[in-house]
Amino acid sequence: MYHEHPLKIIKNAAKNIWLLVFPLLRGIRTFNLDFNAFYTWIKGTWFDILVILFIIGFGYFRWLFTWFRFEKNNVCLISGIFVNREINIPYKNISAVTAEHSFYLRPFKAARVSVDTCAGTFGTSDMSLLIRREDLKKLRRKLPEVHTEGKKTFEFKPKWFTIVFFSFVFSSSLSGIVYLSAFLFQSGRIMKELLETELVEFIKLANGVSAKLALKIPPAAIILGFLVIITWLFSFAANILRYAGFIMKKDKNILRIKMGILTKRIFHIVPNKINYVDLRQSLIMKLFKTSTVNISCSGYGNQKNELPVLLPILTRQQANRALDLLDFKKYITGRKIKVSKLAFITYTGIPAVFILLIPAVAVLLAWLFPTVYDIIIFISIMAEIPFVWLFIIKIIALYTSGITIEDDFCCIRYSRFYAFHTILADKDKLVKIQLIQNPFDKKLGRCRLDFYFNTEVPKNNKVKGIRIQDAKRILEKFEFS
Amino acid sequence: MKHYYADKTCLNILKILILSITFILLAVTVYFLSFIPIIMIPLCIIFFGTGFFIAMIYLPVYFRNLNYYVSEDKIIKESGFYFRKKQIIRINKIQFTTAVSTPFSKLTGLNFIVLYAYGGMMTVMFLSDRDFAELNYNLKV
Repeated sequence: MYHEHPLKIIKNAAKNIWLLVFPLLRGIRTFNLDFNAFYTWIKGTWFDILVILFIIGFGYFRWLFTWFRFEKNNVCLISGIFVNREINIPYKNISAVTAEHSFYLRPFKAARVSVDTCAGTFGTSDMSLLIRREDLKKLRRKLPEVHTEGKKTFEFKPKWFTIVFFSFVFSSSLSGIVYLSAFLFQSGRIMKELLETELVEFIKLANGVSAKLALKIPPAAIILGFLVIITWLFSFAANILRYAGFIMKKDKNILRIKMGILTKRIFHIVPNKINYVDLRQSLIMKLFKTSTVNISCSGYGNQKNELPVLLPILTRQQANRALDLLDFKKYITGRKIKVSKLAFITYTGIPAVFILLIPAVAVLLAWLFPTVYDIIIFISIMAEIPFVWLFIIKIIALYTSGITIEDDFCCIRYSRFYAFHTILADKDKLVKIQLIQNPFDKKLGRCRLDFYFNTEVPKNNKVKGIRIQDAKRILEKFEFS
Repeated sequence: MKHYYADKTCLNILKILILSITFILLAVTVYFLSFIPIIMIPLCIIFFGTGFFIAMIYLPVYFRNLNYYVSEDKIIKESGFYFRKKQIIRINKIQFTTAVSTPFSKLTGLNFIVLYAYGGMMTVMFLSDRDFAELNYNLKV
């Protein structure tokens, strides 16, 4: 592992300049209206004040030398004090415009705006601006045909419990940790010290709980469990805040998505720039015949912890209606090419190995370290559950995965980790099909097909266990289209 | 099809810049490492060799090979030192552009245009100020 260049420290430090407000507040509190005291203070701090003024001055001049303008065909951003940088984005190439109205920006009538096209670097916007709300309206009017208010064809506003369920399903401890660590990192040392004291108390509490419980759960496991729950709750709360108030509107020309409480996000998406629609299901959602409709479109759902969701939690009838209005309904067809049922090991092999391996390792560890027997058993049970879950998912995937490629569209059903995907796309958005065979596949006459679409960053959609003759038929269809 | 070349003024400035850096490095090496000639001499040879090679051989050849052909529907870039590379980009596939000009670019020719298209990008480098303005304008309209 390597660290970045030490110069990055300076860049990171500049982001936390707002922390200077604390010494300033302290200074104000201890300040008294005495000229001598003021003189002594200035004498001691003149250099620090000069540095702060330099930082603020640099920010001011950067702002002063940054302009944007709406030209006839382009939106143009010019920036730079010494090195002049000019970004030109033609309106016709814009795929999405995102406006973030954070709670602290709203009183200033400001909004953070990102303009994206189908090119550029993934995860970063092609043009990012902090602008006045009136200017944002001007930009929106320049979007393809958006100024001519089209006939509203569809509006979807999920019920509050749908959003809660959606946030529940798509929250994870991992993203919770990301939020928590970002929060702690920003809050600095004070929070860290506070937590350190709290942690000691918490360990004592865990010891107490462990002693009272009838089941022999070790304190370390209780702490781990609490941490998982807390981080999950963080992720859940963040998702609620992000997706609350979700409204999707579609008219002839544009898709508008509005969401969020603290930070209101408004997305304007150009429908013909959507690369594909992805109906995503977890195992529970599959059992209840519900799904979320996600889209792949540059500028939407590209940010960290952001899902490219178009419609959260829909029943089959609702999803069909929504897809019909999005002109994707005809793409849902039965699987023309199904996965070979003999590919059972290809699908379930990895989880099965872990299911068998974990108890074996647990027994070995318990024999080697009998003093931590309780922890080993607890961790092994906890580790076993996700793999059993994955095993069930992969068995279902074996019976539901498949491919349909017609003259003008394609429908690909597969499973990635714990999710089931149904990809619906125009055939001209399908840019590459890759056939992969390992030695076993070659012997058994099977293969894996990877489908690549016209996206900003290449993402493969893998369908395993396809018979080689079926794969060749698909490739022929793709080649001669 | 219009033919654009890399600006030769820029080549001379880059040559001066690289040779200056080389001589600074040589001076620093001699000043600080004169008491261990076994390290100083090879380092001096490496710095001098690299600087001389880049300034006097690599850059002139690279600039000679750097050509852009712009037509109504495509931009062709030819570049390379030993291996020649030819890139073609269709103008209607360009999604957006970033034009970068450095201070005194009228004199130095240190102007760049980055063309972002589906699945990749192309950098148009070292254009004279007039060519840079012309190409940037044509890409906008």
